Amino acid sequence: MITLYPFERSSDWPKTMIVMKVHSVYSKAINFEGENNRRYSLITGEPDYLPRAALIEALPFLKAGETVKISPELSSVGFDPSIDPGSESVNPLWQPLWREWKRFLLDDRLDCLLDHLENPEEMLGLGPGTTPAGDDFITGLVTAFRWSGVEVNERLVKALEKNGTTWFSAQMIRDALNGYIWKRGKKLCQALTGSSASELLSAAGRILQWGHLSGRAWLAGFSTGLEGIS
Amino acid sequence: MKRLEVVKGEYYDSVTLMLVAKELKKIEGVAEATLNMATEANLHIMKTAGFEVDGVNASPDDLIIGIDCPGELFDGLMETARSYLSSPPWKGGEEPSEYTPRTLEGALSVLPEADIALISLPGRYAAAEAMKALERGLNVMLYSDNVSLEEEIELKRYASRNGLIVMGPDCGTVVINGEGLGFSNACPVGPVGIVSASGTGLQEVMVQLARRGAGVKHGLGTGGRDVKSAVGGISSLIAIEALANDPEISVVVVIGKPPSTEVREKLVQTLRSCGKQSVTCFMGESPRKDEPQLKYTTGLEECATVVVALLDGKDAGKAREDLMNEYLKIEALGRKSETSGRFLRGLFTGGTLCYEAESIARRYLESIYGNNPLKIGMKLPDSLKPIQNSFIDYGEDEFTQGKLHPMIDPSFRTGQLKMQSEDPSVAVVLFDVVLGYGSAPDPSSEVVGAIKGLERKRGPLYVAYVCGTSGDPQCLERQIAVLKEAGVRVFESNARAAIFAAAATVGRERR
Repeated sequence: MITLYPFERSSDWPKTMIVMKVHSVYSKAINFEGENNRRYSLITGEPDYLPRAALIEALPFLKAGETVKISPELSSVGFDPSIDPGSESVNPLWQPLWREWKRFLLDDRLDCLLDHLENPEEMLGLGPGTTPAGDDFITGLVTAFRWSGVEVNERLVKALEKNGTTWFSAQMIRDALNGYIWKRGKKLCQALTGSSASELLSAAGRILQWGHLSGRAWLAGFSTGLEGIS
Repeated sequence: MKRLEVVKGEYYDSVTLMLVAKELKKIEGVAEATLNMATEANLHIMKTAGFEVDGVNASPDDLIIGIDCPGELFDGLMETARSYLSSPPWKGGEEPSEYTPRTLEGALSVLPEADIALISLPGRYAAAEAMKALERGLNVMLYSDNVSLEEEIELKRYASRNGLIVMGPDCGTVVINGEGLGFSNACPVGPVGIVSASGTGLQEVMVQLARRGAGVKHGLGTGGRDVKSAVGGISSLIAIEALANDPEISVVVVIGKPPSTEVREKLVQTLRSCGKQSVTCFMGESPRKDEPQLKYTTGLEECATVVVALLDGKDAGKAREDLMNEYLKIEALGRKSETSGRFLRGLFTGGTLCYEAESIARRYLESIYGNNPLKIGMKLPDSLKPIQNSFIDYGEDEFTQGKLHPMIDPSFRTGQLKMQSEDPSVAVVLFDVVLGYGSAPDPSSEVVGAIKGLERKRGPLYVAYVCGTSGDPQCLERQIAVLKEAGVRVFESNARAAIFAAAATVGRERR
């Protein structure tokens, strides 16, 4: 069994050596299945930071099902995925901008979500994409609620806790419910509280670069969440 | 085998359609690929190209895909076309790094100091968006065409009441503080302010000024209909006033096709009282006597020549006379040139360049047909089948509905140029190449491809003008060199090219 030594990690990464099974391998990330079926990820790029992730110079050649050890020994904390609920509010100047993100649902690849806006739990596992677009929408929506310090509707929480989507997506939604967020989302939240248009456009642009449709669906969900709150 | 398929109710922008067609043409076995919105004009073009469109159930809101390929490839290619439309292969995997606002409100939230909106949408949506922009206190550049006259009047009246201006519709070029919007060339900034009812007219005057070392601060487009009676010159008058009030502008220029009588009078009166040296260029008008503060010109290069004389404190009349002497020499050269055939074909991408060239050719040739002829009764029954002496503007609505303007995608004009060149009755082919931001990346090479592939034993005489500057992205010098290498006679202005081409045709018509 090989031991991997990432050089940086998120603050929620275990502080001791862990043994995990490779779940899925991508060009810029490897996902592992750890304790309690939780996802852990090794990534090569800092913008792709997500909860329980660690940065490594290059990804080793691994296959799904292999077991590895990962040591936090040489790594420092580079990203805190937690959000401080309700600590800062959105700059009202940006309202017209974040409101237009909901329009991504008019994209014919995402318009299947439009029928479920009243009951977003119905979007679980719905739509195209490696992470189904409905899950990205829900994650954005829940993130907006959590970030604003608004309680997520009990019915939605219960529905989301059911096993209705892919393993990876389920982890992503669960993290959002627990107040953990991807780095791209966190940067966006920070930019929305600030007054720099270029920072905001850049942060929103980085979200759009996320996956084929994921970023769009996430922004639409986030916009819907902010709209509901306001 | 030429086959087509209709995709109901799907709209794609013309850039996407052009690029998908180009991608399909790269595939082995594809002789032709064309993607158009199914307007009447586009169906006619496809029919002329040999596609069986009779009986096709399609409306202008449908996409029509035509492919010329071996029959067994068709289904696979259609699938490829659909996949290209949904996931364009020329786009990288990642979105641009900065988010681009999708709505006017969103854009204004990040750019609250903006005072102009550029609107480029299919005509039927453009007026509503223009009104939204005006209501938000923004001036409007309305690039879109196919906006109705009633909508134009409503927009312009609203703008006028609210201290704003609507530049357009069908306004291809605007220059604000030396920065071009739409089609524009890399030109110096200087003390000239231009009001123009024509896009390529503005480009040509700016280019000719640049070649003479003079620059333009503002070039405000108005749209061609602005100077007609129905609109009453609303935007032109606002623009003249704005330029007159700018202390950095010393010469005010007004360019366009001849206005209606009452609008002309209003424009001239406003220029007379604007307190600055002024020059008008109403193409094709009879020459008029200059006034101390107002000079009258009838050609685009002439206009630039007179403006430069005013800026340099020289005699405008003398400058004009010198230019006319140069034109005489070019005419003499044209008359001496040798070619086979009898007729002149002017094939243009720039509308005003076509208009100016035709108005010059009329001085030499008895009858000239066209898709937008200067003389009543000379309209071609079919723009795709020119006869005798003909001038075709491929930027006219009939060629641009749901398709790219030929300055961006000259391939259709190139195909027509090749077809015209094969006609043994054609003696001279006159054409324009318009460079600058927004224009095709290498337009000369495209034309040369058609010239080199000619089957006719002795081809026509090719005469061209390249409208551009050394600073343009396509590189003026390279574009000219490519044409010259293929035997094209290239001239320094649109007027010079037209004089040479017309003079070379004179006397041949009756043979």
